[in-house]
Amino acid sequence: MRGKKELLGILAIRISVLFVLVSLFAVLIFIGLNGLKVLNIGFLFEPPKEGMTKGGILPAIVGSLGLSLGSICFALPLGVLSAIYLAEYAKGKRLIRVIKMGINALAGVPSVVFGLFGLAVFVKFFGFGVSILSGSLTLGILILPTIIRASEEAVLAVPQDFREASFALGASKWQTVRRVVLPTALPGILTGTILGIGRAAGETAPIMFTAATFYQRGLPHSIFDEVMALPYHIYALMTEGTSPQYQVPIAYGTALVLLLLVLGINLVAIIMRTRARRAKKW
Amino acid sequence: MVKPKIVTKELNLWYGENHALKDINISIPEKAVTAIMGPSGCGKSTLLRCFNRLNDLVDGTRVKGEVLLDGENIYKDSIDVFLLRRRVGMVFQRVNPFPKTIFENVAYGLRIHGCKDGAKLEDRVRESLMDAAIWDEVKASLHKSAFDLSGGQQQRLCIARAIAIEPEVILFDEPCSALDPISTAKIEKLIEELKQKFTIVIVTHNMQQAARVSDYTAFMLLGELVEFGKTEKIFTAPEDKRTENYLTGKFG
Repeated sequence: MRGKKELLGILAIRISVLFVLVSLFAVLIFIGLNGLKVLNIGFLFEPPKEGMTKGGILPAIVGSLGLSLGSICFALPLGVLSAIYLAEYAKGKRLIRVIKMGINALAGVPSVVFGLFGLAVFVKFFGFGVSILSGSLTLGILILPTIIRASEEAVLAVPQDFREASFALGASKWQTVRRVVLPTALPGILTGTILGIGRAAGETAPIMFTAATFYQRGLPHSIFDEVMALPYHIYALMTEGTSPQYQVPIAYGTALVLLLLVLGINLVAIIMRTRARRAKKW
Repeated sequence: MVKPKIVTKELNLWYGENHALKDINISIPEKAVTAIMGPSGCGKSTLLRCFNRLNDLVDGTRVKGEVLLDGENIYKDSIDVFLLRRRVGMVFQRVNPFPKTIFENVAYGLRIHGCKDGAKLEDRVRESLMDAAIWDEVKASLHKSAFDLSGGQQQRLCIARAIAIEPEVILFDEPCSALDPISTAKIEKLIEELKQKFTIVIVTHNMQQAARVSDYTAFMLLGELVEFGKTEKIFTAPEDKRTENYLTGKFG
Protein backbone atom coordinates (compact mmCIF):
# COMPACT_ATOMS: atom_id res chain seq x y z
CA MET A 1 0.00 0.00 0.00
CA ARG A 2 2.69 2.40 1.06
CA GLY A 3 4.75 1.41 -1.94
CA LYS A 4 1.98 2.37 -4.33
CA LYS A 5 1.42 5.78 -2.73
CA GLU A 6 5.12 6.47 -2.84
CA LEU A 7 5.27 5.52 -6.52
CA LEU A 8 2.36 7.84 -7.28
CA GLY A 9 4.05 10.67 -5.41
CA ILE A 10 7.31 10.22 -7.26
CA LEU A 11 5.42 10.06 -10.55
CA ALA A 12 3.66 13.37 -9.79
CA ILE A 13 7.01 14.99 -8.97
CA ARG A 14 8.58 13.73 -12.18
CA ILE A 15 5.68 14.87 -14.34
CA SER A 16 5.83 18.34 -12.78
CA VAL A 17 9.53 18.70 -13.51
CA LEU A 18 9.02 17.39 -17.04
CA PHE A 19 6.20 19.87 -17.59
CA VAL A 20 8.38 22.78 -16.43
CA LEU A 21 11.27 21.74 -18.64
CA VAL A 22 9.06 21.21 -21.68
CA SER A 23 7.43 24.64 -21.31
CA LEU A 24 10.81 26.32 -20.92
CA PHE A 25 12.34 24.63 -23.94
CA ALA A 26 9.17 25.09 -25.98
CA VAL A 27 9.46 28.86 -25.51
CA LEU A 28 13.17 28.87 -26.31
CA ILE A 29 12.79 26.69 -29.39
CA PHE A 30 9.72 28.47 -30.66
CA ILE A 31 11.32 31.92 -30.38
CA GLY A 32 14.65 30.56 -31.60
CA LEU A 33 13.32 28.91 -34.76
CA ASN A 34 11.10 31.84 -35.69
CA GLY A 35 13.67 34.45 -34.80
CA LEU A 36 16.61 32.84 -36.58
CA LYS A 37 14.82 33.28 -39.93
CA VAL A 38 15.40 37.04 -39.86
CA LEU A 39 18.51 37.22 -37.70
CA ASN A 40 21.65 38.39 -39.52
CA ILE A 41 24.31 41.08 -39.23
CA GLY A 42 22.15 43.64 -41.04
CA PHE A 43 19.27 42.96 -38.64
CA LEU A 44 21.48 43.90 -35.70
CA PHE A 45 23.16 46.94 -37.24
CA GLU A 46 20.50 48.64 -39.38
CA PRO A 47 17.59 50.86 -38.44
CA PRO A 48 14.06 49.77 -39.41
CA LYS A 49 13.00 50.72 -42.93
CA GLU A 50 9.80 51.20 -44.91
CA GLY A 51 7.34 51.44 -42.06
CA MET A 52 8.96 48.70 -39.98
CA THR A 53 8.55 46.07 -42.71
CA LYS A 54 12.24 45.84 -43.56
CA GLY A 55 15.64 46.64 -42.09
CA GLY A 56 16.95 45.93 -38.60
CA ILE A 57 16.53 46.90 -34.98
CA LEU A 58 19.72 48.80 -34.12
CA PRO A 59 17.94 51.78 -32.48
CA ALA A 60 15.95 49.41 -30.27
CA ILE A 61 19.09 47.57 -29.16
CA VAL A 62 20.87 50.84 -28.41
CA GLY A 63 17.77 52.16 -26.66
CA SER A 64 17.40 49.10 -24.45
CA LEU A 65 21.08 49.17 -23.51
CA GLY A 66 20.85 52.89 -22.74
CA LEU A 67 17.75 52.50 -20.59
CA SER A 68 19.26 49.56 -18.66
CA LEU A 69 22.53 51.40 -18.09
CA GLY A 70 20.70 54.57 -17.07
CA SER A 71 18.49 52.75 -14.61
CA ILE A 72 21.54 51.13 -13.01
CA CYS A 73 23.37 54.47 -12.69
CA PHE A 74 20.41 55.63 -10.67
CA ALA A 75 19.41 52.49 -8.76
CA LEU A 76 22.83 51.05 -7.86
CA PRO A 77 24.13 53.84 -5.61
CA LEU A 78 20.70 54.43 -4.08
CA GLY A 79 20.09 50.71 -3.53
CA VAL A 80 23.52 49.94 -2.10
CA LEU A 81 23.44 52.90 0.28
CA SER A 82 19.94 51.92 1.46
CA ALA A 83 21.10 48.35 2.00
CA ILE A 84 24.09 49.56 4.04
CA TYR A 85 21.79 51.69 6.12
CA LEU A 86 19.44 48.76 6.75
CA ALA A 87 22.19 46.26 7.52
CA GLU A 88 24.69 48.40 9.42
CA TYR A 89 23.14 51.57 10.77
CA ALA A 90 19.37 51.24 11.28
CA LYS A 91 18.55 50.90 14.97
CA GLY A 92 15.31 49.40 16.22
CA LYS A 93 13.64 46.31 14.88
CA ARG A 94 10.35 48.09 14.23
CA LEU A 95 11.90 50.73 11.97
CA ILE A 96 13.72 48.07 9.96
CA ARG A 97 10.51 46.07 9.64
CA VAL A 98 8.57 49.07 8.36
CA ILE A 99 11.27 49.89 5.79
CA LYS A 100 11.41 46.28 4.63
CA MET A 101 7.64 46.16 4.31
CA GLY A 102 7.88 49.22 2.09
CA ILE A 103 10.53 47.60 -0.07
CA ASN A 104 8.50 44.40 -0.40
CA ALA A 105 5.42 46.42 -1.32
CA LEU A 106 7.47 48.24 -3.95
CA ALA A 107 8.56 44.89 -5.37
CA GLY A 108 4.93 43.79 -5.68
CA VAL A 109 3.64 46.85 -7.54
CA PRO A 110 2.61 45.98 -11.13
CA SER A 111 5.06 47.49 -13.58
CA VAL A 112 2.44 49.45 -15.51
CA VAL A 113 1.77 51.40 -12.30
CA PHE A 114 5.41 52.46 -12.31
CA GLY A 115 4.84 53.60 -15.88
CA LEU A 116 1.97 55.86 -14.80
CA PHE A 117 4.00 57.14 -11.86
CA GLY A 118 6.93 57.90 -14.15
CA LEU A 119 4.64 59.74 -16.56
CA ALA A 120 3.16 61.89 -13.80
CA VAL A 121 6.41 62.60 -11.95
CA PHE A 122 9.38 62.49 -14.32
CA VAL A 123 7.75 63.28 -17.67
CA LYS A 124 5.26 65.94 -16.49
CA PHE A 125 6.21 67.24 -13.05
CA PHE A 126 9.98 67.45 -13.54
CA GLY A 127 9.48 68.16 -17.22
CA PHE A 128 12.00 65.62 -18.49
CA GLY A 129 9.54 64.72 -21.26
CA VAL A 130 9.33 61.30 -22.87
CA SER A 131 13.05 60.55 -22.75
CA ILE A 132 15.84 58.16 -21.83
CA LEU A 133 16.15 60.04 -18.55
CA SER A 134 12.50 59.59 -17.56
CA GLY A 135 12.53 55.94 -18.61
CA SER A 136 15.78 55.24 -16.74
CA LEU A 137 14.47 56.80 -13.54
CA THR A 138 11.22 54.83 -13.80
CA LEU A 139 13.03 51.56 -14.44
CA GLY A 140 15.45 52.45 -11.66
CA ILE A 141 12.64 52.60 -9.12
CA LEU A 142 11.31 49.31 -10.47
CA ILE A 143 14.58 47.47 -9.85
CA LEU A 144 15.45 49.14 -6.54
CA PRO A 145 13.92 46.33 -4.43
CA THR A 146 15.99 43.71 -6.28
CA ILE A 147 19.21 45.62 -5.68
CA ILE A 148 18.44 46.49 -2.05
CA ARG A 149 17.58 42.91 -1.16
CA ALA A 150 20.65 41.41 -2.83
CA SER A 151 22.96 44.06 -1.38
CA GLU A 152 21.55 43.76 2.13
CA GLU A 153 21.98 40.00 2.01
CA ALA A 154 25.56 40.40 0.81
CA VAL A 155 26.38 42.94 3.53
CA LEU A 156 24.85 40.77 6.26
CA ALA A 157 26.85 37.79 5.01
CA VAL A 158 30.15 39.55 5.74
CA PRO A 159 31.52 37.80 8.86
CA GLN A 160 31.36 39.82 12.09
CA ASP A 161 35.03 38.88 12.68
CA PHE A 162 36.09 41.27 9.91
CA ARG A 163 34.23 44.16 11.50
CA GLU A 164 35.71 43.43 14.93
CA ALA A 165 39.22 43.24 13.50
CA SER A 166 38.73 46.61 11.84
CA PHE A 167 37.29 48.28 14.94
CA ALA A 168 40.10 46.84 17.05
CA LEU A 169 42.56 48.67 14.81
CA GLY A 170 40.85 51.95 15.63
CA ALA A 171 38.74 52.22 12.48
CA SER A 172 35.46 54.13 12.56
CA LYS A 173 32.19 52.58 11.50
CA TRP A 174 32.29 54.28 8.11
CA GLN A 175 35.92 53.26 7.47
CA THR A 176 35.00 49.70 8.34
CA VAL A 177 32.00 49.72 6.03
CA ARG A 178 33.85 51.32 3.14
CA ARG A 179 37.15 49.45 3.33
CA VAL A 180 36.15 46.02 4.65
CA VAL A 181 32.41 45.36 4.45
CA LEU A 182 31.72 46.79 0.99
CA PRO A 183 34.65 45.15 -0.87
CA THR A 184 33.77 41.82 0.75
CA ALA A 185 30.11 42.15 -0.18
CA LEU A 186 30.81 43.37 -3.70
CA PRO A 187 30.29 40.07 -5.58
CA GLY A 188 26.85 39.64 -4.02
CA ILE A 189 25.95 43.25 -4.77
CA LEU A 190 27.04 42.86 -8.39
CA THR A 191 24.97 39.70 -8.78
CA GLY A 192 21.87 41.56 -7.62
CA THR A 193 22.69 44.46 -9.88
CA ILE A 194 23.03 42.31 -12.97
CA LEU A 195 19.75 40.57 -12.24
CA GLY A 196 18.28 44.06 -11.97
CA ILE A 197 19.69 45.01 -15.37
CA GLY A 198 18.11 41.89 -16.85
CA ARG A 199 14.77 42.86 -15.38
CA ALA A 200 15.04 46.44 -16.61
CA ALA A 201 15.97 45.36 -20.15
CA GLY A 202 12.90 43.18 -20.44
CA GLU A 203 10.20 45.49 -19.07
CA THR A 204 7.70 47.12 -21.43
CA ALA A 205 5.04 48.80 -19.33
CA PRO A 206 7.25 51.21 -17.34
CA ILE A 207 8.79 52.71 -20.48
CA MET A 208 5.62 52.80 -22.56
CA PHE A 209 4.65 56.28 -21.36
CA THR A 210 8.04 57.50 -20.20
CA ALA A 211 10.72 56.75 -22.79
CA ALA A 212 9.75 54.59 -25.71
CA THR A 213 8.75 55.53 -29.19
CA PHE A 214 7.48 53.34 -32.06
CA TYR A 215 9.90 54.44 -34.61
CA GLN A 216 13.13 56.35 -34.86
CA ARG A 217 15.21 56.73 -37.96
CA GLY A 218 18.56 57.42 -36.30
CA LEU A 219 20.03 56.95 -32.87
CA PRO A 220 19.22 59.19 -29.87
CA HIS A 221 21.58 62.12 -29.29
CA SER A 222 21.07 62.89 -25.62
CA ILE A 223 19.35 61.56 -22.52
CA PHE A 224 16.46 63.91 -23.25
CA ASP A 225 15.61 62.11 -26.50
CA GLU A 226 12.97 59.44 -26.74
CA VAL A 227 14.19 56.01 -27.83
CA MET A 228 13.12 52.70 -29.28
CA ALA A 229 13.44 49.68 -27.00
CA LEU A 230 13.39 45.95 -27.72
CA PRO A 231 10.30 44.90 -25.73
CA TYR A 232 8.33 47.91 -26.91
CA HIS A 233 9.40 47.32 -30.49
CA ILE A 234 7.85 43.84 -30.34
CA TYR A 235 4.65 45.37 -29.04
CA ALA A 236 4.67 47.96 -31.82
CA LEU A 237 5.32 45.40 -34.57
CA MET A 238 2.46 43.20 -33.39
CA THR A 239 -0.14 45.94 -32.85
CA GLU A 240 0.60 48.73 -35.31
CA GLY A 241 1.26 48.91 -39.02
CA THR A 242 -0.52 47.34 -41.94
CA SER A 243 1.78 44.55 -43.12
CA PRO A 244 1.74 41.79 -40.51
CA GLN A 245 3.22 39.29 -43.00
CA TYR A 246 6.49 41.29 -42.84
CA GLN A 247 6.23 42.59 -39.29
CA VAL A 248 5.59 39.35 -37.38
CA PRO A 249 8.89 37.68 -38.42
CA ILE A 250 10.76 40.84 -37.39
CA ALA A 251 8.96 40.70 -34.03
CA TYR A 252 10.26 37.16 -33.50
CA GLY A 253 13.74 38.25 -34.45
CA THR A 254 13.51 41.10 -31.93
CA ALA A 255 12.22 38.70 -29.28
CA LEU A 256 15.17 36.40 -29.89
CA VAL A 257 17.65 39.27 -29.52
CA LEU A 258 15.95 40.38 -26.28
CA LEU A 259 15.94 36.84 -24.95
CA LEU A 260 19.63 36.36 -25.73
CA LEU A 261 20.44 39.71 -24.12
CA VAL A 262 18.64 38.85 -20.87
CA LEU A 263 19.96 35.27 -20.77
CA GLY A 264 23.45 36.60 -21.43
CA ILE A 265 23.17 39.08 -18.56
CA ASN A 266 21.97 36.35 -16.21
CA LEU A 267 24.79 34.09 -17.32
CA VAL A 268 27.32 36.79 -16.42
CA ALA A 269 25.71 37.04 -12.98
CA ILE A 270 25.97 33.29 -12.44
CA ILE A 271 29.61 33.18 -13.51
CA MET A 272 30.52 36.11 -11.27
CA ARG A 273 28.82 34.51 -8.28
CA THR A 274 30.58 31.17 -8.74
CA ARG A 275 33.93 32.88 -9.13
CA ALA A 276 33.42 35.01 -6.04
CA ARG A 277 32.41 31.94 -4.02
CA ARG A 278 35.49 30.06 -5.12
CA ALA A 279 37.85 32.97 -4.42
CA LYS A 280 36.67 33.59 -0.85
CA LYS A 281 36.52 30.69 1.50
CA TRP A 282 36.40 31.94 5.05
CA MET B 1 56.25 45.19 41.23
CA VAL B 2 57.00 47.07 38.00
CA LYS B 3 55.04 50.04 36.77
CA PRO B 4 51.39 49.21 36.01
CA LYS B 5 50.10 49.90 32.48
CA ILE B 6 46.43 49.07 32.95
CA VAL B 7 44.63 49.28 36.28
CA THR B 8 40.97 48.46 36.87
CA LYS B 9 39.07 49.77 39.89
CA GLU B 10 35.87 48.09 41.04
CA LEU B 11 35.11 47.17 37.43
CA ASN B 12 31.63 45.72 36.90
CA LEU B 13 30.03 44.79 33.60
CA TRP B 14 26.56 43.61 32.68
CA TYR B 15 25.31 42.13 29.41
CA GLY B 16 21.64 42.98 29.85
CA GLU B 17 20.77 41.17 33.10
CA ASN B 18 23.88 39.02 33.09
CA HIS B 19 26.43 40.29 35.61
CA ALA B 20 29.57 39.22 33.73
CA LEU B 21 32.31 41.01 35.68
CA LYS B 22 32.15 41.56 39.44
CA ASP B 23 34.32 44.15 41.21
CA ILE B 24 37.48 43.43 39.27
CA ASN B 25 40.62 45.07 40.67
CA ILE B 26 43.71 44.19 38.70
CA SER B 27 46.91 45.94 37.81
CA ILE B 28 48.58 44.82 34.58
CA PRO B 29 52.34 45.45 34.60
CA GLU B 30 54.03 47.23 31.71
CA LYS B 31 56.19 45.31 29.17
CA ALA B 32 55.40 41.92 30.60
CA VAL B 33 53.06 39.10 29.69
CA THR B 34 49.98 38.79 31.85
CA ALA B 35 47.82 35.71 31.38
CA ILE B 36 44.16 35.61 32.32
CA MET B 37 42.99 32.03 32.73
CA GLY B 38 39.84 30.35 33.88
CA PRO B 39 37.11 28.02 32.68
CA SER B 40 34.78 28.92 29.80
CA GLY B 41 32.33 31.67 30.66
CA CYS B 42 34.33 33.04 33.61
CA GLY B 43 34.50 36.50 32.05
CA LYS B 44 38.14 36.48 30.96
CA SER B 45 37.44 37.52 27.36
CA THR B 46 34.94 40.10 28.59
CA LEU B 47 37.59 41.62 30.84
CA LEU B 48 40.05 41.67 27.93
CA ARG B 49 37.51 43.46 25.75
CA CYS B 50 37.13 46.16 28.40
CA PHE B 51 40.74 47.17 27.83
CA ASN B 52 40.04 48.34 24.25
CA ARG B 53 36.31 48.97 24.79
CA LEU B 54 35.36 46.42 22.15
CA ASN B 55 32.45 45.49 24.43
CA ASP B 56 30.90 48.78 23.31
CA LEU B 57 29.87 46.99 20.10
CA VAL B 58 27.54 44.65 22.01
CA ASP B 59 24.10 46.16 22.58
CA GLY B 60 22.93 46.26 26.17
CA THR B 61 26.39 46.36 27.75
CA ARG B 62 26.70 48.39 30.95
CA VAL B 63 29.99 49.21 32.67
CA LYS B 64 30.59 50.55 36.18
CA GLY B 65 33.97 51.31 37.69
CA GLU B 66 37.18 52.45 36.08
CA VAL B 67 39.80 51.15 33.67
CA LEU B 68 42.94 53.27 33.82
CA LEU B 69 45.43 53.24 30.96
CA ASP B 70 48.56 55.08 32.11
CA GLY B 71 46.41 56.54 34.87
CA GLU B 72 43.65 57.84 32.57
CA ASN B 73 40.15 56.38 32.80
CA ILE B 74 39.30 55.04 29.34
CA TYR B 75 35.60 54.91 30.18
CA LYS B 76 35.24 58.64 30.78
CA ASP B 77 33.16 60.55 28.24
CA SER B 78 35.95 62.64 26.74
CA ILE B 79 38.04 59.63 25.68
CA ASP B 80 38.58 59.09 21.93
CA VAL B 81 37.72 55.41 21.48
CA PHE B 82 39.41 55.24 18.06
CA LEU B 83 42.65 56.61 19.49
CA LEU B 84 42.35 54.21 22.43
CA ARG B 85 42.10 51.23 20.08
CA ARG B 86 45.11 52.50 18.24
CA ARG B 87 47.05 52.32 21.51
CA VAL B 88 45.58 48.98 22.55
CA GLY B 89 45.69 46.41 19.74
CA MET B 90 44.03 43.02 19.65
CA VAL B 91 44.51 39.53 18.21
CA PHE B 92 41.45 37.31 18.10
CA GLN B 93 40.55 33.71 18.83
CA ARG B 94 39.04 33.16 15.42
CA VAL B 95 41.83 33.89 12.98
CA ASN B 96 40.46 36.80 10.98
CA PRO B 97 42.65 38.35 8.28
CA PHE B 98 40.72 40.58 5.88
CA PRO B 99 39.91 39.19 2.42
CA LYS B 100 42.73 41.32 1.02
CA THR B 101 46.34 40.75 0.09
CA ILE B 102 48.97 40.09 2.76
CA PHE B 103 50.38 43.58 2.22
CA GLU B 104 46.99 45.28 2.43
CA ASN B 105 46.14 43.42 5.64
CA VAL B 106 49.16 44.88 7.40
CA ALA B 107 48.80 48.29 5.74
CA TYR B 108 45.12 48.55 6.72
CA GLY B 109 45.64 50.13 10.13
CA LEU B 110 48.19 52.58 8.74
CA ARG B 111 45.86 53.60 5.93
CA ILE B 112 42.85 54.23 8.16
CA HIS B 113 45.03 56.39 10.37
CA GLY B 114 45.91 58.50 7.38
CA CYS B 115 49.27 57.19 6.15
CA LYS B 116 49.44 57.71 2.38
CA ASP B 117 53.21 57.72 1.85
CA GLY B 118 53.93 54.59 -0.22
CA ALA B 119 57.55 54.18 0.87
CA LYS B 120 56.66 54.59 4.54
CA LEU B 121 53.83 52.06 4.19
CA GLU B 122 56.22 49.54 2.66
CA ASP B 123 58.75 50.06 5.43
CA ARG B 124 56.20 49.67 8.20
CA VAL B 125 54.66 46.58 6.58
CA ARG B 126 58.07 44.95 6.27
CA GLU B 127 59.07 45.80 9.84
CA SER B 128 55.76 44.54 11.21
CA LEU B 129 55.97 41.27 9.31
CA MET B 130 59.54 40.85 10.60
CA ASP B 131 58.46 41.56 14.17
CA ALA B 132 55.70 39.00 13.77
CA ALA B 133 58.26 36.41 12.59
CA ILE B 134 56.54 35.78 9.27
CA TRP B 135 58.50 37.98 6.87
CA ASP B 136 60.64 35.17 5.44
CA GLU B 137 57.56 33.07 4.68
CA VAL B 138 55.60 35.80 2.89
CA LYS B 139 58.14 38.22 1.42
CA ALA B 140 57.76 36.65 -2.02
CA SER B 141 53.96 36.69 -1.95
CA LEU B 142 53.05 40.03 -0.38
CA HIS B 143 50.44 40.71 -3.03
CA LYS B 144 48.71 37.35 -2.82
CA SER B 145 45.52 36.75 -0.84
CA ALA B 146 45.94 36.32 2.91
CA PHE B 147 43.66 33.29 2.64
CA ASP B 148 46.39 31.37 0.81
CA LEU B 149 48.33 31.16 4.09
CA SER B 150 48.01 28.36 6.66
CA GLY B 151 46.04 28.98 9.86
CA GLY B 152 49.19 29.59 11.93
CA GLN B 153 50.61 31.94 9.31
CA GLN B 154 47.31 33.81 9.16
CA GLN B 155 47.41 34.32 12.93
CA ARG B 156 50.96 35.70 12.75
CA LEU B 157 49.76 37.96 9.93
CA CYS B 158 47.02 39.21 12.26
CA ILE B 159 49.72 39.90 14.86
CA ALA B 160 51.69 41.85 12.25
CA ARG B 161 48.52 43.78 11.43
CA ALA B 162 48.12 44.71 15.09
CA ILE B 163 51.80 45.65 15.50
CA ALA B 164 51.84 47.86 12.38
CA ILE B 165 50.14 50.82 14.04
CA GLU B 166 52.60 50.66 16.95
CA PRO B 167 50.23 50.06 19.85
CA GLU B 168 51.42 50.13 23.46
CA VAL B 169 49.39 47.13 24.54
CA ILE B 170 48.43 43.99 22.59
CA LEU B 171 45.51 41.90 23.77
CA PHE B 172 45.48 38.22 22.76
CA ASP B 173 42.12 36.48 23.03
CA GLU B 174 42.92 32.74 23.04
CA PRO B 175 45.16 33.22 19.99
CA CYS B 176 46.12 29.55 19.67
CA SER B 177 42.87 27.74 20.34
CA ALA B 178 42.30 27.09 16.62
CA LEU B 179 45.92 26.18 15.85
CA ASP B 180 48.04 23.02 15.77
CA PRO B 181 50.85 22.48 18.33
CA ILE B 182 53.67 23.62 16.02
CA SER B 183 51.90 26.86 15.10
CA THR B 184 51.06 27.33 18.77
CA ALA B 185 54.73 26.99 19.74
CA LYS B 186 55.68 29.62 17.16
CA ILE B 187 53.12 32.07 18.46
CA GLU B 188 54.15 31.49 22.06
CA LYS B 189 57.78 32.13 21.17
CA LEU B 190 56.70 35.28 19.35
CA ILE B 191 54.78 36.52 22.40
CA GLU B 192 57.99 36.08 24.47
CA GLU B 193 59.82 38.36 22.06
CA LEU B 194 57.04 40.93 21.75
CA LYS B 195 57.08 41.72 25.44
CA GLN B 196 60.32 43.66 24.94
CA LYS B 197 58.29 46.30 23.14
CA PHE B 198 54.69 45.84 24.22
CA THR B 199 52.55 45.22 27.25
CA ILE B 200 50.83 41.92 26.60
CA VAL B 201 47.64 40.48 28.02
CA ILE B 202 46.70 36.98 26.91
CA VAL B 203 43.47 35.18 27.67
CA THR B 204 43.70 31.41 27.67
CA HIS B 205 41.81 28.46 29.06
CA ASN B 206 44.97 26.42 28.66
CA MET B 207 46.88 26.57 31.94
CA GLN B 208 50.05 25.05 30.49
CA GLN B 209 50.09 27.91 28.03
CA ALA B 210 49.64 30.43 30.82
CA ALA B 211 52.52 28.80 32.70
CA ARG B 212 54.77 28.80 29.62
CA VAL B 213 54.33 32.31 28.30
CA SER B 214 53.35 34.59 31.15
CA ASP B 215 55.14 36.52 33.86
CA TYR B 216 51.95 37.20 35.78
CA THR B 217 48.78 35.15 35.94
CA ALA B 218 45.24 36.03 36.88
CA PHE B 219 42.70 33.33 37.68
CA MET B 220 39.04 34.13 37.12
CA LEU B 221 35.90 32.25 38.08
CA LEU B 222 32.24 33.18 37.54
CA GLY B 223 33.00 36.82 36.81
CA GLU B 224 35.31 37.29 39.78
CA LEU B 225 39.05 37.71 39.93
CA VAL B 226 40.06 34.95 42.32
CA GLU B 227 43.80 35.40 42.43
CA PHE B 228 46.47 37.42 40.70
CA GLY B 229 50.23 37.34 41.06
CA LYS B 230 53.54 36.16 39.62
CA THR B 231 52.97 33.14 37.44
CA GLU B 232 55.54 31.11 39.36
CA LYS B 233 53.77 31.73 42.61
CA ILE B 234 50.25 31.11 41.29
CA PHE B 235 51.31 27.76 39.89
CA THR B 236 53.43 26.58 42.83
CA ALA B 237 51.80 28.10 45.87
CA PRO B 238 48.30 29.41 45.14
CA GLU B 239 46.68 31.14 48.07
CA ASP B 240 43.08 30.47 47.16
CA LYS B 241 41.62 26.99 47.39
CA ARG B 242 39.67 27.52 44.15
CA THR B 243 42.85 28.28 42.21
CA GLU B 244 44.46 25.16 43.58
CA ASN B 245 41.45 23.06 42.65
CA TYR B 246 41.49 24.43 39.11
CA LEU B 247 45.23 23.83 38.69
CA THR B 248 44.99 20.28 39.98
CA GLY B 249 42.16 19.57 37.57
CA LYS B 250 39.36 19.21 40.12
CA PHE B 251 37.19 21.25 37.74
CA GLY B 252 37.74 23.07 34.46
